[in-house]
Amino acid sequence: MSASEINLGTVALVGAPNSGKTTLYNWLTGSHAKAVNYPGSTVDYLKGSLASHWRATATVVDTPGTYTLQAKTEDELVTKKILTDPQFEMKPDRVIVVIDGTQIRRHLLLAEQVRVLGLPLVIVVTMLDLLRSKKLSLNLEPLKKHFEAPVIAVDGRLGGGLRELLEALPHASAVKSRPRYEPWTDAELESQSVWAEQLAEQVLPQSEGSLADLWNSTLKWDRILLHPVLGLVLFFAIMSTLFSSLYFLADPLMGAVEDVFSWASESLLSLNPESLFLSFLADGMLASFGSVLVFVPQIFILFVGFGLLESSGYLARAATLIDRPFSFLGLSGRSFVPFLSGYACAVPALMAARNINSSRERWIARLIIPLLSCSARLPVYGLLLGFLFWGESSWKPGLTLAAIYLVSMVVSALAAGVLHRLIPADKRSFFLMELPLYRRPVVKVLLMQSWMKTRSFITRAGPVIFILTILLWVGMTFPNSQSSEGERIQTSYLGQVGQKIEPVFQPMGLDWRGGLGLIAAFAAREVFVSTLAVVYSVGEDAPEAGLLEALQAAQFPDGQLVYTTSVVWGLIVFFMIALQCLSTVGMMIQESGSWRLALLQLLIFNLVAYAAAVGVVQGLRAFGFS
Amino acid sequence: MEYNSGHRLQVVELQGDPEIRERIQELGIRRGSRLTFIRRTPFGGPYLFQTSSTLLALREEEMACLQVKSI
Repeated sequence: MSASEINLGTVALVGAPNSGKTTLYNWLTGSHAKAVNYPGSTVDYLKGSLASHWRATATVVDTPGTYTLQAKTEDELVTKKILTDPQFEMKPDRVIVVIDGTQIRRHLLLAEQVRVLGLPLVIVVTMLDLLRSKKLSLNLEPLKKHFEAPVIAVDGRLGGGLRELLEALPHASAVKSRPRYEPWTDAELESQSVWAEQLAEQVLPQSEGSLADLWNSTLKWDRILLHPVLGLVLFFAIMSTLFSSLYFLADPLMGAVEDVFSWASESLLSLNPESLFLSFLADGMLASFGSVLVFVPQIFILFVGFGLLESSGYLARAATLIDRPFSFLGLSGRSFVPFLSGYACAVPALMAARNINSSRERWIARLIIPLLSCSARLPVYGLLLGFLFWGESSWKPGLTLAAIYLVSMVVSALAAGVLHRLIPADKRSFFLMELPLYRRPVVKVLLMQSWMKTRSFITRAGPVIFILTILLWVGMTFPNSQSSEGERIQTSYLGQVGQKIEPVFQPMGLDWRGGLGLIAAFAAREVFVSTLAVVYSVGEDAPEAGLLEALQAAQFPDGQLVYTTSVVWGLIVFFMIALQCLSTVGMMIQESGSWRLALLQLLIFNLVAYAAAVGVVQGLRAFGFS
Repeated sequence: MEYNSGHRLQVVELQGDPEIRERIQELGIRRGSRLTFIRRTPFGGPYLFQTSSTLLALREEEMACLQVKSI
């Protein structure tokens, strides 16, 4: 920073959703940003420094989009607090109110509410490209006169007007009289609406027809995309694409992350296989680090996909199309994407649930997401179905797997229905929303935002997942850390616990080794398979058939077979319901802000899973199955 | 209530839940505003209306906050 640079302090960007606010933020900061959590909420806003080429210093804050300071959602409340809470450490020195040039009448209401706060103000009118395409030109004088503040027109696509904005910012000054902010009554809101209409008419005279024309192509697209039949077909096609890219596009990347970490940990161990310190570094630290980073590809892809849908304008349509079916579960169409993501992985799904605007719905979604059939369950189902349909034609396990997915959907829907009745109704729940113009997404902004959100996952949920994974490693490694793998695990603290509580697993038909597999699966469900391979003394690299044979031969001390049809079905039901994933627990702690709630969820899910599994095993036995 | 696509309506009065009423006004509809019905989404889902500046989706119970007349 040179001495001649002006320090503008904290500059807050305020505007309605889709007003071009985040694009402006990107221009100002040159995409250097950090997602910051507003204290006591799950709402994130972006914070960054003014890009160096602007020759001024400032902290720029991108507040969550809002139509009003009369906040009705958690996001809107955060924007209101940033502007009005005297305790807030980032209290803005200057405010830029962003008004969409095609929506001046509506967006003036927010601008007027901000003006009354008496903060130094600059008004930015965006969407110049759209106005120009209709040969409309702005008369900014009436705005300057009313707001007693600089008013700048900005072209978000090309960046025109930014220099003027930077030159105007130092001159923004507080209005002399500081009327206190009071919420508007119904009558005031109506008279303000009339005032806004008159002012907008002065800014863009006789523009109504031309502005309506902007909607022609959007309305044409909507004839297809919101069509009762075609619209639904396209909805499923678009969502399948998003889901399969979560599943398949992320898969090789996740594999690569795992490969790098297992290669690094093997190379470390090979230096001195006896060293406990190296084992701690390799199996403890590196593995735990890997267990955080392995989620990064999925989370990034999810947010890019989500951002594409949102910034193109389609997400609002998708929510509208699916709203009615979801309303039976006490949810709205906005919950669809988090639910869909839950079928890939609960961790990004819990992050996506932040975008649900009703807190009641957000809770229902958070509680249900771990029930959805995530991809980590597949290897377990694969093993168990391989056991059940040993040597039979492959359509049988395939069909059974489809049935498992279907049943898990029904179970989740039932659970949502129960929660819908249990959680008290939230009067702040409404659907009412605008379907914005279809627009081509600005790729740079999209990637910047996706990366911010991904980074916020690494820095927030990461440490919790990391610590929980290390604890699990300690439990599975000590006290006999020097023994062979099978022996080490069997005699480890958790192994001892597993043997002590064998009676707990007995009603499920399992011996202590199977129980230990269930405990180990808390690292990640698929670890169940590799742990069984170790405790039933099969090398970890043995082909799956080897494990299946070992399971078929496994016996209780009295010579009875452990893995029978009833036991394996019990396990399938257990995995369908159980919350066996420390990463999900870590994420829940982060997102809900409550240890107690996350642990309660962990307890309830696993108790219900246990009861269901015992019920299935004992029920099947009563009907004469082995 | 069911209209043909393109049906023109005028808002006579806002009624019902104060919060929904407030949000309706924030989204640019007031007494006297004109709306064009676009369509209703499948399964009895939200209604779609075009206002002078945007496209809105309203659930049935939110729709009930608008007292409208055909024009």
